[in-house]
Amino acid sequence: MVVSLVTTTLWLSIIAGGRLNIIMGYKHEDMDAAKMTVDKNTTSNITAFSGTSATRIHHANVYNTSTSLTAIVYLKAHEGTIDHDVVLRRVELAPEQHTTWAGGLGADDTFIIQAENPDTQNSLILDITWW
Amino acid sequence: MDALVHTLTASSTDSVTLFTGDSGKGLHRVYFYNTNDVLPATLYLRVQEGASDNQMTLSKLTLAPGEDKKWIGTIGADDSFTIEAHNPYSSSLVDTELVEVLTTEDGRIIGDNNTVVVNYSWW
Repeated sequence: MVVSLVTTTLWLSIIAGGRLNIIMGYKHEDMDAAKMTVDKNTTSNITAFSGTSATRIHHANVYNTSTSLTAIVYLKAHEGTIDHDVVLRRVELAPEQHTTWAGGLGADDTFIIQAENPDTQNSLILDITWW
Repeated sequence: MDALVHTLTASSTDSVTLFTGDSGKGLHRVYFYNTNDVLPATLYLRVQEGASDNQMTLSKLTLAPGEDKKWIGTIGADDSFTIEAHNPYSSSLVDTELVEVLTTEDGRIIGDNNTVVVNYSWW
């Protein structure tokens, strides 16, 4: 009887918690990050994160740490329904400049950053953060 | 709200950690205000990101005299928000090519104490 009561209470708590999440929406609670090295005269891609099905806004910040080289950055989403990459933005990031993006992505979508380093001598590093 | 007054003496760079993230907070807001009426300040906004254990630069800001800017974002409990501030102006800089920058509207020349004070507030 006691065990049953405890179990029932536990399930009710889980159900209540689930409803609370649905009502309030999913709150993203952390920042994640990656350093992206782009070698000289190359193009690189990184998949930063996947979307979530809950209604929320995803944010990404891309910063060019180089003090001398410009990076050509494409922000893309791989859209699950049509199974295609979709370009959201093309930006030439001057040395020590950044760009931000905010938007909604579903669970079947991923956020991709493609960066070109046209310099023939040196690599560059992008600091990518998202939350 | 919490706040910090950051004093940058001439020709100096200094870093301060303002806060660590809060996993239940949602958005953090940070304001930056350059109290100097003549000199600009350069700030690098950074996060020490816990999962990757990397220091990430979010942006480089140049605050003109009397200018404010803000940052809004989410950081977790294992992340901390850091500012690296630069004051490149020499204490002896009075009449170089930057004399225009160092002259107030009433023609007063800033002398040998080119200290910049930046106010930070966050909530």
